[in-house]
Amino acid sequence: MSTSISAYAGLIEDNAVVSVMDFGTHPGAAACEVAWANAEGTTSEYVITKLINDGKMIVVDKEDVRSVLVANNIRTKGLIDPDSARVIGDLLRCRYLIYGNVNDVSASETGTNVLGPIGGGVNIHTVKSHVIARIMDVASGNIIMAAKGEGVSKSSLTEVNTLKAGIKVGTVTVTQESVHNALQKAAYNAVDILTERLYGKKKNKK
Amino acid sequence: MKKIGALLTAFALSTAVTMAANTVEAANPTCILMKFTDDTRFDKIESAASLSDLVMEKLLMTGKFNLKETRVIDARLEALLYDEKTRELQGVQRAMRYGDYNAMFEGPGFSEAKAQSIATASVGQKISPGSTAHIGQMPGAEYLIQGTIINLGVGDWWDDKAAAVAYAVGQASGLMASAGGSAMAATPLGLLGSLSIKRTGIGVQSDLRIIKASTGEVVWTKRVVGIGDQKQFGIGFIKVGSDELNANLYSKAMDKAAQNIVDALVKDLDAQKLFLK
Repeated sequence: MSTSISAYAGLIEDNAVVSVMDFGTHPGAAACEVAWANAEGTTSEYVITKLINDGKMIVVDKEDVRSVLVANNIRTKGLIDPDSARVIGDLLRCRYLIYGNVNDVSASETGTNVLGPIGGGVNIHTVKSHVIARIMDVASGNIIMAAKGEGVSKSSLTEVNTLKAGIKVGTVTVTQESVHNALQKAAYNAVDILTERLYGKKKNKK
Repeated sequence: MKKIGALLTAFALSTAVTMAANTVEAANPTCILMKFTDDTRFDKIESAASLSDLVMEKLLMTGKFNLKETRVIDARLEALLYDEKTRELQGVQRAMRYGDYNAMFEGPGFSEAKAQSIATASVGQKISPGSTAHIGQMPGAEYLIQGTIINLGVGDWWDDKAAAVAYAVGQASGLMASAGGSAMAATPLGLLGSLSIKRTGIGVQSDLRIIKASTGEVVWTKRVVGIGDQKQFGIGFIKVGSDELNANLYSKAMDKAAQNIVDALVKDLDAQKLFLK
């Protein structure tokens, strides 16, 4: 595995000019109890923020030419075909496109329960998200590298029940905040992994 | 002088790494990922597209493949490749027009060497060479990679993985019957009762096939199972963990299926059971 990564390091130049497309999703990517309004749009924003903060690549904003792309039916969301990529690259004068999908957003619950309805327990609600990002050379249509990022957001619920009443401390439902927290972490993780695969591991500054 | 030397060394190393990477890239087969299909009743949740993304990422990580992004295929070509009925209909229409049913039954449509569709093709069968060559030609791809989800959920198709469930439960029972179990029974923990382990999970069974673009021949195919599972431990009235199925198990199963299939492909490449190039 390390040999494969080192073989790819150096395939993209420092300060490469890239543009980030809107990330797509699949209909079944999120469970019905997960509220994730506008998750696709915000995921690309998280990717852009991380790339800019990292400073390894030069990010070109597509918003200035979005109307032109839409008018010409150029795909800008999810998986981008090579012909659309070439048009986008010419308009934005960028060599690479970063694009991809939110692969899944899932919620699960686990914990410890003692004596069921008359006892109590601690439940951990976990929202987990995966984002798969690709980087394509617009001239050749080659997928240079891809990375799958994972983000986890947890909240807990403690219940103490008695025969007459009970108390709850914590969140019962999955909130939109926890969904976006998980998405942000997944997007950041994807960028970290992608950058590491393209450029090699970051060296600690002394 | 020393600084210049250091700079020159760094430049030379960087160039060497890039050249080495380009050499590796040139030696690797160039492939396109075709649309994955889903034969289950859950095809509306686009599990196939999700599996395709996962396989793509893992294939790139092996460093053994150059992947090109897929061009948009026109609807007619897509129907020829994926729709078995379209292929059958072509032969039937001609037979009905000219009344030559012999030609239909003796023609390529009924030949065992010809695959009914890209999603059901097995090794040695050919899929419409004209179509596959056209798809591979423009981006310069030598091979097409296509996958199919066969099963999703729980079933006998888990194969040997199902035995692991029985083993885990048996292990727990065995513990209670052992000296260790007897020792535990003598402690306050023994008052809680017997230990139980409940394992629940979701499985994904999928195929992957590699097709030589120029000839349409399937050169490799493999079927794997990926399982996402969890355990709930119970000691008397105390339960730790969860036994409820959830979407997280599904995503784990999809990831494992993708990893298993790529591992199988790399294993056959390394063992020289498969030659690409």
